[in-house]
Amino acid sequence: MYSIVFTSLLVIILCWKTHKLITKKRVSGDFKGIDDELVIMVNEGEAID
Amino acid sequence: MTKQAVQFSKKRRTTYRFQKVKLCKKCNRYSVLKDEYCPACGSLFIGVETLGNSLSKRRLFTEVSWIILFVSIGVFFAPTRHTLYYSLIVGLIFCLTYIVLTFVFMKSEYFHELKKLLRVDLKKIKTGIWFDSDLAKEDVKAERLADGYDKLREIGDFIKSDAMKQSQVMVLNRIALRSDMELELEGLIPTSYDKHFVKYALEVLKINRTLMTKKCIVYFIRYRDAIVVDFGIDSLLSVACMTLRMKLYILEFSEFIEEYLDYFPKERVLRLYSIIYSNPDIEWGSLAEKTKRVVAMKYYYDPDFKPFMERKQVLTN
Ligand SMILES: [Zn+2]
Repeated sequence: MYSIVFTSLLVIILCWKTHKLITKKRVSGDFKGIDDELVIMVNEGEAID
Repeated sequence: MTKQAVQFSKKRRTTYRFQKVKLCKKCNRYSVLKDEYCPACGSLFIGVETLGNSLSKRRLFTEVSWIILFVSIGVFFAPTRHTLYYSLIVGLIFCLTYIVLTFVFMKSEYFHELKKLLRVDLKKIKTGIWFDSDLAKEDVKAERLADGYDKLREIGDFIKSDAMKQSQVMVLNRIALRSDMELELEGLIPTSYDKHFVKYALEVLKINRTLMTKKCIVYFIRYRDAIVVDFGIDSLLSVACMTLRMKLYILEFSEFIEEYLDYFPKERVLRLYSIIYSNPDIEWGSLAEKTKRVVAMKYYYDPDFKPFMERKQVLTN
């Protein structure tokens, strides 16, 4: 019983981690995206002169 | 006012702009300038990529520590020797899979951490750029124009405001520009009419015609009335002459060229005439007619135009 519970817990953790990594990969974008986003963000709000 | 003779340092080029962002850990201040060491405390700046990397590594380390602890507890509380061995093997397989999985997704994890870092520290990055901008202003005030412009140029990669563009243009207008300088024009075009920009543009165009891009021509056409008032008709004429640089520009700005064609110097008319003649398949519209009229009126007996005239006669015969 102990072995089943322990193994199940580890499998659940592994599944959860994989799901999290895949989701992150899907939304992480690319360097170009990060670059454009940064420039848009620093130009928003109070202007730097 | 006499212009300062200076030497610009080469612009720092990175694949992406964010690669220029760096942090002084001691001052907790970001900078986008070229300096390797913080001007305030002398510490070495750490690039944002290195920061993102160390953040994702630290995260991985914390996670691995937690799972090792979890597996150890599992093994420790195993009721029988048999379960203990079983838990140990399963735990080991689990740890290995976890690490392999993280390594497979290392790149996207790094992306994620970098993005998060830039978002979380956005305010700090902006404050850092403010500080950089102040440093640039101090340089300009102290007549260190090359240093000042160098800083403004780096900041200008991030800040796209008219005020930032004007700051750069104002400095450039105080410098004696040379053809060996790495000059920029298109990136400095403001969203509204700016006398300083036009002054700079006209100066640059004397040195490097290739900087006259479509956007620049559009700017000159849009604010032509104000430009004529401030800089005279000759300034627009020189821009109109420069549009002959490319066939594409001639077609795009044919109306503008037509307007100033009567005032073009002979060499420019010759260029336009030869382009039109060597490309009879292109639909030049009324520009072709006007050019022919100007040539007939002014240069009919000019030997430079003779080859075209002869060809024309052959064609009509
Ligand atoms: Zn510092």
